[in-house]
Amino acid sequence: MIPVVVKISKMPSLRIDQSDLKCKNGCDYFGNPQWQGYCSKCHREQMQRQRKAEKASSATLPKPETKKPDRGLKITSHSSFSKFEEKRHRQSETLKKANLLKFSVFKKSSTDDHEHSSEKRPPEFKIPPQVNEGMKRDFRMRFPQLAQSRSKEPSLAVDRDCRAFVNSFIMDVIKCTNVMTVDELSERVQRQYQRFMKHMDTSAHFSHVDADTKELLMDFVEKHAMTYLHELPSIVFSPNGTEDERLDRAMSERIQQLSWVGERHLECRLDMNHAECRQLLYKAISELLGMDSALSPGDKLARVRRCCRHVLRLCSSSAPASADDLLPALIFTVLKANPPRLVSNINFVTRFCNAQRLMTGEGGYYFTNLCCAVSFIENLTAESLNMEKKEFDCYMAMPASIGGSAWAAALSLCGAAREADEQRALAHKLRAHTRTIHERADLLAANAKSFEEQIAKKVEDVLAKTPLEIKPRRELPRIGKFKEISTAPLIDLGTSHAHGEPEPPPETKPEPQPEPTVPQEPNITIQASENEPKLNILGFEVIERQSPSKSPQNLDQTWDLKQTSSLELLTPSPLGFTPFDSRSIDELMTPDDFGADQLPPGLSNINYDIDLSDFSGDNSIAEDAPKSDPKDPFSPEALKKTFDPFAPQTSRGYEALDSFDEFSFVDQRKQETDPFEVVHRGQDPFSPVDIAKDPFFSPPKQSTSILDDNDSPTSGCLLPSPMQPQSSGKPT
Amino acid sequence: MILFIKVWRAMATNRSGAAQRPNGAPQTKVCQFKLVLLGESAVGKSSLVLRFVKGQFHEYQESTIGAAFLTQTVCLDDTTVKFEIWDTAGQERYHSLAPMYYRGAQAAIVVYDITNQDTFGRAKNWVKELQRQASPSIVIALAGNKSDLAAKRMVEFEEAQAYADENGLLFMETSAKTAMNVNDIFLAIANKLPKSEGTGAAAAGGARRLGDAEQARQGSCCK
Repeated sequence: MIPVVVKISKMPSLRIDQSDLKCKNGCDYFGNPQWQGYCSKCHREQMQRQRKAEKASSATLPKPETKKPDRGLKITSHSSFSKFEEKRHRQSETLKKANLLKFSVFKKSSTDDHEHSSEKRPPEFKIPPQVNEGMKRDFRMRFPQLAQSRSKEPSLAVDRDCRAFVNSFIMDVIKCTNVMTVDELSERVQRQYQRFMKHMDTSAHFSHVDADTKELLMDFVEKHAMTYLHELPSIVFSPNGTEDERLDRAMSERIQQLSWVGERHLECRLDMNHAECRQLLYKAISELLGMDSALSPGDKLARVRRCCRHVLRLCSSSAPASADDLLPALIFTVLKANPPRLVSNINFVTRFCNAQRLMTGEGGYYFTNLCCAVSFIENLTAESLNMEKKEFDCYMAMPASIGGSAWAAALSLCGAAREADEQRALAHKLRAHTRTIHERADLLAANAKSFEEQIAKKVEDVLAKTPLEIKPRRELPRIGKFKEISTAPLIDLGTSHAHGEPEPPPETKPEPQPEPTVPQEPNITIQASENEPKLNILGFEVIERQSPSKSPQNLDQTWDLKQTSSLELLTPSPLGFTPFDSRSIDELMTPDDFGADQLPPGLSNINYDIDLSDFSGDNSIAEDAPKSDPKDPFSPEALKKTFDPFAPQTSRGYEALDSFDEFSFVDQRKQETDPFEVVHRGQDPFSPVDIAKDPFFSPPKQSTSILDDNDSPTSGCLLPSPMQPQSSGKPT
Repeated sequence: MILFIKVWRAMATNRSGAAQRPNGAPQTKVCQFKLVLLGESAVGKSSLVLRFVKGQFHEYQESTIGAAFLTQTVCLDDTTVKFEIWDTAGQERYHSLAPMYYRGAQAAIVVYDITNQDTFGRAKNWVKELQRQASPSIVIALAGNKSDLAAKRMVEFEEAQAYADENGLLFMETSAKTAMNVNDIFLAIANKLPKSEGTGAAAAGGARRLGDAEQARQGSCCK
């Protein structure tokens, strides 16, 4: 926005090359002689950099300088009083530098102005946009009732008017600084204030603003205008052409000289030994020092007001203090504080504060008191202290460091006390903080624990609700294996009925297994024939055997079944407990579930197997089958798919050593069994694919198992499997 | 509510007997005046003000942060007058600073102690100074305080009255202790003050015109 304005103002005189008009910094905006050839933004940045550098070298333009007292007060409160002194020294030193800087920076730019003004009218001094932004924000904050009043239009107009006034006001002041004396400027500023006041009284959109708010708006406008102007050196604060700075130094020295003046000289009742009294004085001094860091007259007044209230409280130990007490105490406070740039500050407020503020109101009253105090100090004589001229001269001749040591000590005590208080408060805060952290940690731990318990409980609940599904699955594998093997169900049954041992074998790995399985097989067949429910379980094998007999087509399937069984024989024995088995079972389960949901899991699984059997044929028939089946299909099938090696192997295995087999099984398992068994069974146990995939295993097993079934199927089953896979699997 | 407060205020100010009628007129003006208290130290300036503003005498209350600067509102017929009372340090050594205080003041009360002739002398000096240096329209009242100590009287009433008449001053003998004439003297001043609308705020002798809203606020807060 600004660059645009600049552009417009420059357009008429195009004698200069465009590039010359651009910002020196090389950005695309137009530069401006008043900003030393920079555009507004770059100029500002440049200025800021410059200021920072100056600040770093302890030279002070008003703004950075004004911040120092506060900081110093906080940081160095342990030896606050000595710091006060130090600050004052620094102040007076830096004032000189600041003075030089002011001239160097601003005089130069103003001369630039004049150079260019002959050629073309210099563009207006631009107020940085952040002033407006700050005003907008502050307006909203300080006048919420206006900012969001029911009638939007007028309130916006109020806001706009304020900003417009501040802008024109600042421009006016800056324009006039070089032309007018300070007093003229002050008068002009006062007229501006009155003009705005009148504007507020007469303007339509201020009609809904009550008088109180108008006062506040006045303060608001004054604050923002003056805050900005205050930052510009030598415009309103200790302006050029005044003796303010010299007077500041003189006053500072004077106060230093008078450091021996104590409360008894001023006849004010202050009890240095009273801690509260010291504290109050300390606070009052702090506020007084803070006056220099406040930027607008209103803020400075507020500081003075706070200071004076502390002083009043200082005096009101017994009865409400009157001005008779206030003024001496305030003089004493000023003497002890020796505020930086006291005269400049007072003059600044007197000249540029809204005159009404100074004439009336509490702030005005206290400021008047401060003025009186300063004036009194300036004109202090032996007479005004009610002392002998000789004595007074004696005191004045004394080096400044000697006097007032008692109060200096008292005040530094205050500083130390305050610091201790702060530290203690900090410690308290920290302790509270750690306590809360502890509490929260405990809470977190408790939460975690309860959460854990909850989860555990939930898990238990779930387990309790659905125990059947889970348990069967785990056990099923074993059972399934056995079932498939024909032994597993038998084992379970056997455990309950005849054999107590069968269960452990699968878990205990190869060794025990073969034994149970071997004996079981015969049992299975027998039991199956005996009990019908068992038949189902057992029947699976039986059926398998039957199936071929029933339907020749199924011969292959029967083969498969037998293969599987044999495989299982192989598989369960080594792995037994392994998840692999469970997986295979799951797979087996899934198809079964459709039909067998209602049955208890164990049984359902069995049923599942039965499904297999269903394929082959009825259970009842199966009973008969086993004996006959194996023989018929095996021989031909075996021949068909013939694995010569297997046959001998089986025979071998037959006789062979159980233990030996087992070991071999284990090895096999790890290497090959997984894919074969699981996949095939789960999906289509009967399908020819199985056969194709497991041609090796099945025929020999079948042959062995089936053949042997008559006498001892288990032994037969066991034997072939170990041998075959090893030999067959590897070669293929 | 506001009305009630106003009435109450009016009645409160009437306690001392001044003829005021409770004022319920909706369009009352609010005028603010700066009043300076002058007088030797110990004549009871602040006691007078405390009696006027707080109705108390030497009873220290925590809420009172000194008696140096106080405000009090008084209701007249059609006007609400807000007094802003500036106390000054009475010690002789600070005498030269007084002009700073009474600059821009519309009213001044010069207080002396009827038991102390010196204070009356000082009061005369104050009056002279005010007439010479303060704004010409300033209303000056002379108050002979400590009238309860009539037994120790050193300054005759007639003497002071004559002086006051001579110089066009309001004059009353007051007692902060018994509250005698305390409100009356302030009311008399309020009556004598010009309450014209045109008085500029910054102009000496003028009253600051305040809106109705502020009046309402003051009514509620000064209660």
